[in-house]
Amino acid sequence: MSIRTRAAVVVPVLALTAALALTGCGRLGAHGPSGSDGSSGATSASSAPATSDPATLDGISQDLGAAGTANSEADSNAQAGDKAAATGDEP
Amino acid sequence: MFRFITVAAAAGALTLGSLACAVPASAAVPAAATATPAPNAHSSLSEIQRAGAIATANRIRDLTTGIAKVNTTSTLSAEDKSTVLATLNHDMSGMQGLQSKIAADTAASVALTDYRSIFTGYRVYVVGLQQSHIAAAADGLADTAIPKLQTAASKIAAVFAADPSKATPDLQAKLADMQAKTADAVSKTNGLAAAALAVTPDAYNANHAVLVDDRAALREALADSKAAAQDGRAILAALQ
Repeated sequence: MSIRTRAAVVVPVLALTAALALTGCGRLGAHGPSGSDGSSGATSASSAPATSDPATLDGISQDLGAAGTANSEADSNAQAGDKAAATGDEP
Repeated sequence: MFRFITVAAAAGALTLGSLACAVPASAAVPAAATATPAPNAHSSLSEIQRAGAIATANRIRDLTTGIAKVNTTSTLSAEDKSTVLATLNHDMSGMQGLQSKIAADTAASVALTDYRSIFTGYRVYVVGLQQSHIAAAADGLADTAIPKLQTAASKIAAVFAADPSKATPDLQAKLADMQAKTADAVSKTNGLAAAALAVTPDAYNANHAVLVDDRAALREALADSKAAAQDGRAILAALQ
């Protein structure tokens, strides 16, 4: 097998491997993403999400990120309310 | 006793945060104007008119910024946004009316009455703007932060159920704390925005501490929500 032929085989294999690794589809027991309510999507009860499921963990991360952003905005509003209350010009 | 502490001008700008920077320099009150003492029964008509012009200009400036901010925010619920805008626009009309009236007054006693109504009739800072911020914060917690925390906790519980080996005592304790803190935040934000928005200038005139409990409840709810998020992040880090 020539170098060119070998490269033609190896490159697609590497690409496929990378794709499987990124999506988690190559993992044992891997399954589709979870629903927003914590359900396991189309998977059966016997294939509940594993802790290593990237989609599940990513979903949790996104929920926590949104909560953190909302907390920050609420904090800014709370501080602004405190400052309004402390203007000192109201007899 | 009336005070005219025009530090209020600076405080008002601070109240609205960085948006205050958008106010044109020409609209800012000169620093020298902020040293004017509060008018009283012995003040001349021109002194009262000058103080009234400053007080109304400050409020019109901060209401303008506040209304623009409310119009673009997605934090307030639709119902609360409508209530807040009604209050702030009412205050704006009142300030514009008083600005013109005080400038046109020809008797010091009338001008002084008008000047005092800037405060007692509207309470722009301590009621209108303050309750708007409390409502926005409470709605942000109730409508976004808390539901997201509840969803995250449910997902974490599902992960633990699917793989009990990951549910260490420490992580289970963090999840329990996350759920408890979130429940506390729910309890403290329940009805908070409505309660704050129900406060009127008359209510404040009768009791200057009328919004103190609402501010305290908001602070506690916010602390709970932050603690719950911190628990969630710690669990997530351990699972990754």
